[in-house]
Amino acid sequence: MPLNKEATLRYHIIDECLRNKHKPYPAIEFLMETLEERLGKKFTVSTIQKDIKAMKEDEELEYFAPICFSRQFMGYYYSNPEYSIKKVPLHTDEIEALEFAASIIQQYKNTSISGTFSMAVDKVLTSLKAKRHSENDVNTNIIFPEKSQDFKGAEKIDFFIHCIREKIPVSFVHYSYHEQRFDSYIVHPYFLKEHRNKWYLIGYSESRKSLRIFGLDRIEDILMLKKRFFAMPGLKPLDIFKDSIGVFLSGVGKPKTIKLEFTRNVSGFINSQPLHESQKIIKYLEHGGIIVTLQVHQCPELKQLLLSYGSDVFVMEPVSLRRTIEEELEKSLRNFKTKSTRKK
Amino acid sequence: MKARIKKEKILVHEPSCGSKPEWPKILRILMTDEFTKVDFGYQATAYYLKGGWVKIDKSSFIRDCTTLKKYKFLRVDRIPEAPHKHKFKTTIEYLYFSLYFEPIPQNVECVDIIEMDKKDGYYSNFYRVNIRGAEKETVI
Repeated sequence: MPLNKEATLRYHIIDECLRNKHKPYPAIEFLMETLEERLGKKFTVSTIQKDIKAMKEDEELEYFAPICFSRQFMGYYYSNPEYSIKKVPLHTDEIEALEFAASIIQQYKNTSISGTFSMAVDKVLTSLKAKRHSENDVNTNIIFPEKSQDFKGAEKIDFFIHCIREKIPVSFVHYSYHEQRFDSYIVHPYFLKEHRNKWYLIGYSESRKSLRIFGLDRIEDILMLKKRFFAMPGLKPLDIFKDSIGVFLSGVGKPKTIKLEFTRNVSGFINSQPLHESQKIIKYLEHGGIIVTLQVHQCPELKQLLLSYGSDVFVMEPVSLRRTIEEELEKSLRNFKTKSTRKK
Repeated sequence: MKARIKKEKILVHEPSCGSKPEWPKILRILMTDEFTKVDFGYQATAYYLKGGWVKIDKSSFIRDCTTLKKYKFLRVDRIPEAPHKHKFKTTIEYLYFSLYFEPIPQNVECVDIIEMDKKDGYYSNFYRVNIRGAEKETVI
């Protein structure tokens, strides 16, 4: 059951009163006055008594506060003077969840978000004196999220987050691997996307008059511009990559039906880890293979993905994609043969 | 004593000029009170097996096409000053670099960006860089 926010505040105020060395042994009347003063409303004797009981015994709260009543001083006190409900440790599963999140976010260690988060987690765990495994503990490394290599451009993420939030157009220089040339752009930045541990900026390019994708690793020398921000009408970030694999912009045209046959070597993986959310298994083959369909745009990322399955995939439809894959495989084979011959 | 009013920083995007494909490309010119920064992009040339090399000479300058006033070279970013060279390892390498010169007036219409004031083909001399006709933005 979620904790009542006001009750939590009352517990913390009572805790402060019990730990106040200048006014030890607070009586119930003193607690009532303090609560009224701090929270701006009156509380009954019964409420305070229930609060004290909850702090002592409630299993969900897990405070198990050692609160006693002194007949000599007619007030409450902690039998352990060091005790405070603020020192109550997190649950084991909560600590694990925090550490797990911290390990995942470590991938983005070049960003200030990651640094701040990791520091916050460390601070929480340290302040709670949570027992952490030592480096030599065999159980330390039991979760291995995919770690990216340090990639060029990660340091720009924070800057772009700022520009996107504040709606600031930017100027930068960009190098295109494909065209092997530099261009300078004025871009109205909308959002960032990650694909295979690389980050991309998606924004409106003034010179191209359209939405464009820029790899952060190829962006240089960003300048913020004093000009009106252009928000593309009807832009829905979640829809932009809906029908695509990777970072291909699917704003133009309808996706195509891609029909693929996979061998039994990989059919299990394809079944358990679909290539795209549109994937449908349309036939289970006798020898263990499967036929699936995808509704996606044809793009370089799709080609690369299919090539990665080598002889375990056959493109049934569309024919144009099959030809493309065939040509690429033939080129690859020629390349291998030529270079093998040369080595001999 | 009058306080000096700081002028806005003006960014000129891809000004047109006479150039050769093997030369660096002028990407932007930033005009401020303190300096004029010219950003260049250079693709290593396939003319050399390993892409060749680049360097910049300190005697480079900017010249106002109208008044012929010269603005001296100040410093560089990401490119060595001669006699040092940046040597490429392959022809697929590229280099983004910037040259800083004395501040030019913001109302200048056209400049020459001169690496070496000699009329032969060994230097990247950009004549009549059109500032007036280029797209301009104010930088925050």
